[in-house]
Amino acid sequence: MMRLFRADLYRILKEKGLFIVMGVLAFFIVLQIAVTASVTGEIVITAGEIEQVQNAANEEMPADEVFLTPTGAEAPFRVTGYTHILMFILLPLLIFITTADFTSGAAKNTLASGVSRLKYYCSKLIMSCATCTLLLLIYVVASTLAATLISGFGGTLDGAYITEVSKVFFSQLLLCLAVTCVGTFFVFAVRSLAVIGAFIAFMLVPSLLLSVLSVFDEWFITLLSYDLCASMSMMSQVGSMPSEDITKIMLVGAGYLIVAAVAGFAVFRKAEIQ
Amino acid sequence: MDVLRAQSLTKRYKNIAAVDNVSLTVERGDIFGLIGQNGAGKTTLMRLVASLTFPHSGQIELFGETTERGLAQARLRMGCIIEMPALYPNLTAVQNLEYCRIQSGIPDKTSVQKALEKVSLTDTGKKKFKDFSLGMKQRLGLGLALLKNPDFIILDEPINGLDPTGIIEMRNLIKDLNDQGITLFVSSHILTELAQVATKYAIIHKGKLLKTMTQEVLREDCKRALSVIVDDVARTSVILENEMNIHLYKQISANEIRVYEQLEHSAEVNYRLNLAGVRVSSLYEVGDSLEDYYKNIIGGESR
Repeated sequence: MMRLFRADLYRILKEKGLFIVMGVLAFFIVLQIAVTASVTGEIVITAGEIEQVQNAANEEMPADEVFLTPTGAEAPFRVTGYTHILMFILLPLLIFITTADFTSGAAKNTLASGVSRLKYYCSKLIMSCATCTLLLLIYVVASTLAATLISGFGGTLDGAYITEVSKVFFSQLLLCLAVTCVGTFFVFAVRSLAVIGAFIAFMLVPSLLLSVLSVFDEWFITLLSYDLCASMSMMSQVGSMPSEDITKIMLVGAGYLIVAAVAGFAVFRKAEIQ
Repeated sequence: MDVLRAQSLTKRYKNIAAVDNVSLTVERGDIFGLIGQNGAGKTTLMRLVASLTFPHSGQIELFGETTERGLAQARLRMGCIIEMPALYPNLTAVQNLEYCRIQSGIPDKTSVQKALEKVSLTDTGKKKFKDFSLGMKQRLGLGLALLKNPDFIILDEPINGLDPTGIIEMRNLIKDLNDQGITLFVSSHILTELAQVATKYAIIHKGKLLKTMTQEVLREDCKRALSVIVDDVARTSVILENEMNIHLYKQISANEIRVYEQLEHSAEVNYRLNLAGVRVSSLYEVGDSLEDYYKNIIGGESR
């Protein structure tokens, strides 16, 4: 399987796609930091949560009433609130890694040369998950560095802080990997560029639909914890969430991940390769 | 040992059998030509062998292997181009082959250059695959199939889209590969083209395998001759040899002789036989062109 990884890595690095995606990611990070740079002030962080802020006029304001430049220390907590948007940057990478094999027809070269479908599927799934992990890591680290450059670190890099950041990172990572597995499932089920539509629909439609339905009955809001996109936003507040909510979201994420990974192989196992 | 043995293979799409109970054997050293019209089932049969699709029934044996694991191992010794050569459009020829070299775990880094040399594509530089002509794509596809030094190559319509020079080059390449000991399974809907390279043939029509034959049998079946029906075969032989210097003939029955040379002199044959007192009751040309022969086998259908 290492050969498949190495070959994919060779191909991805030889094509421009990866660099375009990285450019978009950099733009996204800079944009996020720049937008919040319009207001400056100081913040008080406790256990990774913004408690209190002082705006430019030195007036104390509740954290949720002001939008200010994150410091390096608080950047990981702030930017993970937008991880669901990051997933749309992951989409072109999924397309480079796997869909390109089907649209170009190159998958049949691999499969006809004795590579089993399980090995092929696993290599693509692992590659996609590794890419997703790397993407999230770059996103968090680059955001922290960018925020530190603009506003300073603004905190202490101690064990407690790293634990808090790790909690947010790994909870987001699980949900991101679940999205990756769902995306990979779509790629192997559709095996064409129609995967773009399917993926975007999966990411946007449930939360939109639930929001609309909640106008008629607020009970529908409770279903948002079953939507990966909404869960990602919620989990950026993992430090202040009740543990039962965290457990529920993590189980839902793990459920999506396992079901999508298994279903992806199930549809690919006997699929016609064009 | 047989390289490929298909036994009672059947593949259906909805209710239509694309491959219907097909059995065939490709032996080591063969250039096995699979002939059929478009939609006859050639590509589906090749896709079954390459595991790009799965049969509803029947069995495939490749290098003696029949199990899933064994077949996967056997396919490591196989190269193929099925339908159009499919490579990454934004990579160059070298990059595409390098990708496949890494994927196949071939340690020899010069194998890419060697494969490109074999298919005369060493000078494509930074040109991307998507900008290649169809002929270049076909050649690069073959280069890809050759990369692993396979023992068995499947080529689906390899001359499609090639210009006359490209067709000659492809034909020579197929012969050269076979001379190097590689077994080839080649499909085409152009019998005359396959007839120039194949050593064995199978004709497939509407998913069914109608006939398999060797090159010798095909040539014999398609040989053109002058059929002469006479009352005295012995005297006819003497006249043909002594008076017309014809030696390529065969007695088919008690009153029929087939002449395989000087077919353009049928009037002369008739005149000489009459002059010698041999009664000629019938004299006509027999034997099919390859196309006619093929059409007769598939039931006279033309598309």
